[in-house]
Formats: sequence, structure tokens, C-alpha cells
Amino acid sequence: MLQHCRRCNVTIRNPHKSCPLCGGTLEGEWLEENRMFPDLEQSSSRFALGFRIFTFGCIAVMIAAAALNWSLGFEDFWSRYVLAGVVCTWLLTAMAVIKRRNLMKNFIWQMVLLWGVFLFWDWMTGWKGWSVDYALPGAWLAAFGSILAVIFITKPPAVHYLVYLMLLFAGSFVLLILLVLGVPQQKIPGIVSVAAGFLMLIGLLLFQGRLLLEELHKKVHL
Amino acid sequence: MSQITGIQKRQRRKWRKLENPAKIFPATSGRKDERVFRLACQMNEPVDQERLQQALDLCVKDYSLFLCVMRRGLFWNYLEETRQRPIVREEYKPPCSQLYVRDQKNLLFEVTYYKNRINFETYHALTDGTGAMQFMRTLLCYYLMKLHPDQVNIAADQVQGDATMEEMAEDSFSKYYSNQAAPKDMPVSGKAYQFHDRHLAYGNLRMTEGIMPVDKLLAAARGKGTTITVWLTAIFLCAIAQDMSPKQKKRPITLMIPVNLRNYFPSDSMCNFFGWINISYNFSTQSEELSEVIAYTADFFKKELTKERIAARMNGLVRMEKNFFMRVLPLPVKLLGMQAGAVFGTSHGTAVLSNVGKITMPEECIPYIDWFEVYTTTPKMEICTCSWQNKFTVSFTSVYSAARIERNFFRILTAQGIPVEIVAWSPNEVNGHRDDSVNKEEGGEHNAAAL
Repeated sequence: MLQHCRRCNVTIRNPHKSCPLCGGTLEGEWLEENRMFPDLEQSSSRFALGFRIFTFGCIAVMIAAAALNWSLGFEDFWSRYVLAGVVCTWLLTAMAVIKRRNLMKNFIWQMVLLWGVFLFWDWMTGWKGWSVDYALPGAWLAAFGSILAVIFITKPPAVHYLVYLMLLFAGSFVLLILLVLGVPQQKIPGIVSVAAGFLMLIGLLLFQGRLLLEELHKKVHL
Repeated sequence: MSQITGIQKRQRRKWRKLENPAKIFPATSGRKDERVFRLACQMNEPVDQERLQQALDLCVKDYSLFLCVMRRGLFWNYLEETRQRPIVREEYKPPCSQLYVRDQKNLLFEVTYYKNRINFETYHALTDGTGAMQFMRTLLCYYLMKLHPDQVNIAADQVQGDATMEEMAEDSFSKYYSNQAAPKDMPVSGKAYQFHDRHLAYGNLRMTEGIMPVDKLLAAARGKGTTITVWLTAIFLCAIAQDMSPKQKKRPITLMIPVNLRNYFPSDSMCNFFGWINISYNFSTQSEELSEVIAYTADFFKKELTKERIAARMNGLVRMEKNFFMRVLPLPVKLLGMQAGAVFGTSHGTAVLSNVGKITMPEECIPYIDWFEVYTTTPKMEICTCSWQNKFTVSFTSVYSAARIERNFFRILTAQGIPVEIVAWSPNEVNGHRDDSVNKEEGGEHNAAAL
């Protein structure tokens, strides 16, 4: 026996407490065997809540630092380091969260962001050149090592990682240009990165050349 | 260049470009509208998971172009073959939940079941209603052949098109594109009436389905001198207009009606190949009589559903995609542009009405199937209709907490003597009961108004 809404003059196939159309009282019993859907709930993202808490914490630290700096007098604007530090941390964390489903893509983005962060801090602290000497090649080597580790541990099909190796090569090419222009004073870290990048490219061309070309064709199709 | 090795052959993946509408879906899908649709079939007996899995394994061999993941390129997204295989599960998440997850290489369709019902859900970039229905019919054939080998002894190609894999993966938009100028009298839709009801919690959908006998609907529609599609479109317009204030009626109600382009341009493609027309009706300047709305709708359909005018709309869409400057923009810029276009376009439509049409199956399968239903995600409200034997289903999906449009719609039908059976699901229901706390907060005022 199905439920019925007298006001809408419709039969209700799956059991309800009230008419799903008008909210009115239904004739007939609520019968378990007539259920047509299991208990279904939209899963809520814990990441979203955690990230909001983190963002709130970041803003709180920035406001506290600025307020303390203001109350002690603005002669020495020391809180700019706190503000810049928090913004950089937030950016790196946000990228890690957004790209959490693809580790290799995450490492590439982290490397690009870290380059920006290092250059900015070097500039803000009176340009001593440590960013181009050590930090940029260091970030590249860290990304390179991390991506190789992911490839060796998870053993994904080549088509899933070729593009990230190409992007790493593009990164080492940028380091090569800096070296050619004579920007870094300390050249060894840069040279190591560029050598590793070119060695990787030659390895790819020798062992995965055809796949690499196919992958490039996919990625740049118009 | 190195010779291709055995390992490399195994590692190679086929890929294909996205066709015109499929390019837009990845840009505009999100919690507000996941761009997922569901074809479901209510069987006459409980679903056997093991046999359904066997049937699905056979089905994906016939439609291997569905075994793919979405990947990002520098200029466009594309679909790449995957070695993942779908697993049949008991229904475990709300209907039409997210299937495409950015940066996650997962299949873009899913088959689930609950009691007598088999659900096939797919991300819209993978296929359209016609392609999905062909997959579903093949799946059901294989399933019934496994379940009742003595009674259902048929060849699955009875429900499959006579097409090669290349024809199934064809981009029919590009095939039929021509650079002809559009006729000058094409209707231009302006801002349309928007619902002002309270929304469900962000990302939630409510579903209400009415099942009606086809013979009675047909008799009633013929009694009005029209077809079921025209009649239901007119009723939908009137159901929306019923609760509009005179001020709100100054804006026209605009219904977007998807059109299967295969009916105008022969194609065996399983990819997206649909266009749409927008029908606008202004209840402040035009008659409120149902018969007048029917006459207007019938005239509109007759005028707009011609090959030339459908082609003009299709060419307009493809022209933009083919534009060189558009093509060379990096993907993130394109995605932003498409999102902005979608936001702008949303004010030009009130709701969507999609007719999947009459579903047929081989004679031997008929006794095992009760009815079919189609649901789709929407940022507002959408109706999907389909018919199977003598059962016509009208399925509403809505993001609004009150069901006043659905109530108006089905009451107009019952007043014409059409018996209606309702199947409803809403995220506010806990164990089949409506959660009263949510109801009071979100739907209370409309339900009270209905009393």
C-alpha cells in the first residue's frame, strides 16, 4: 500500500513523513520495504575546514604583529618580516593543499613558488645574492629528487610523469640562462642543477623519445 | 630517436580532443553544478551485483572510449585512455555527485545499484544523453543475458549502432561545422526571470520524479491538439508563472531546451553532440491561458527546430572555438573566460527542460524492466523526461528547498486526470524522514504558503 497526498492527488512511491510536493499530511503508512534510496550523505571535506582554520590563524598572527608594532611605534617596521613570512607560508601551504591529489605537479608548483619566495626575501633583506647562488638551484634539486622518488616508489606509467620531467628541464634551462648572464657569484650549485637537467633530458630522449614526443603533442594540441 | 620498445608500447595511451561543449564542462563544473547526469533503470527484481559487474566488464569492451581520464594540456584539456576498470558498488553517495576531480586521474563514469535500481552516472564531458543511453541499454542487455540466459538470448549489437571505434569517438561538431552566416531573425534572449527561493545547502540537490502512463498523457496532449513534449513545456512555463508576482512577470521565463543534433546531422558519435534552443515566454505581455502558451510553444518549436536554424546555433559555438586567437590562449586564461561566460549566461535562462525521448530495448528484455529515469545536476532547476513502454517519467532536480514548482506542475497534470506517482529524494531526509529542523529553517515558509 503506497502513501497518498489528498491535496496534490498523487501517490508517493517511496515513504515520506509528509508530501514531498506540498508538505501536507499523507494517507497510508510509512513502510520500510518501500524505501528506494539508502541513507546518503554528502561527504564534507576536512581539508576545507582545516585550511580555513589555518588561514584564520595566519591572519591572526599578521594582525597581532602589526598591532604590536604599531603600539611600540612604527620607527622600526619590523612586523613587515612577520607579514611577509606569514604570506609566504600561506601561499606555499595553499598550493600544497590545492595540488594535494597530484604529488609531482605539487612539487613543480612548490619549486616555482619557492623561487619567488627566495628572490623576494633576498631583495627584502638587501640583495646579497644567496637566492641565485644557492636557493634557486637548491629548490630545483629538491624538486628533482622528490619527483624521482615518487616515480621510483609509485611506478606510474611514463605518460603520467613525462610532462613533469620536461618542466624540470625547463627549470634547469632558466638556471642555465642565469649562469650564462653571470648572475650567480657561486656557480657550482647552478652548474650541478643544469648538468642534472640536461642529463635527464638526454636520458628521456634516448629511452622514452617517442613517448616524450607524443606527450608533448598531447599537451600542446591546439 | 630511439626505437619504440615493448615497455613503451604498453605505456602508450590513446587520447582524444574534447568536442565543443565538452571543452566547457571542466571549466564550469564545481560544487554548484558538477555537470554529472544519471540514467537509472528500475528493474522488476533485485539487482545481482556479481552479474552486473560481469555485464559492465563486457560493456566497457564495446565502449572502450569511456575508459579514459581527463588531463590538462597547455591550451586544452583532453581525454586519455586509462587502464582503470569500473567497479559496481551499492549506491553510496547522493545522486549525481562529483565524478571529475581536478588533478585526480579517475574514471568519469560510475555504475551503482540499490534494491531494484541500476544507476549509470557520467560526467558530461565524456558523453551526452544519447551516448549514455546507448551504453546503458547495452549494459542492461548484457546484464539480463547473464541473469536470464534462457529467456534473454540476444546479440548485444541489437542496441548498438553500426559504428567503428573511430566513428564513436568522432567530433561531429567539427565534421558539420560551416562558416555560413546565421539568419538575421534568430531570437536573442535577454535577462530572464530567476527563482528567488531559498537554496539547499551549497552543493546539494533535491530530486522529485513523477511517473505517469504514456497513453493517458498522449490522449490528453492530443485532446489539446499537440504533442506530449509541447504540452509539458507549456505546463512547465505555467507552473513557474503561477507563483510569480506581477513585477516578476515583467521578466520572461526562458527555458533552455537541449536538442540532439544527431536528429539533424547523421552521426554515430558517442561523444557530446547536442545543441539547444531557448524558448522565452513573457506572462506580462502574453496570454496566461494554457492553450495560448501551448500554441506559442508549438509555433516556436516548429520554427526553431529546423536544420538551418539548428546549424546556425551550432556554427556560432564552433566558430568561437576555431578562432585562432581563442585557441592560442593558455588553458587557465580560457578557463577563466569560460567561467565568466557561464556566469553571464546564467542570467539568460530560468530553467532547463531536457527530453531524452522514447527508450527501446529488445523484446526479450521488456518483462524485466519497470521504468527508466534521467536526472542531471543543475545550478537552478532542470526537468529530464523519458518514456519506457507505458511509463513516462518527469524528473526534477532542483537546488531550492521548497518544491512549489514541482507541486504546481504535477497538480496541473492531476487536474487533467493524469494519475501521477511520485518518487522523491532530498538531502534533508534522514532515513526517509524529512529532517524537520532543516525543513523549518529552509522550506518552512513555502510549505506554509502551500497549506
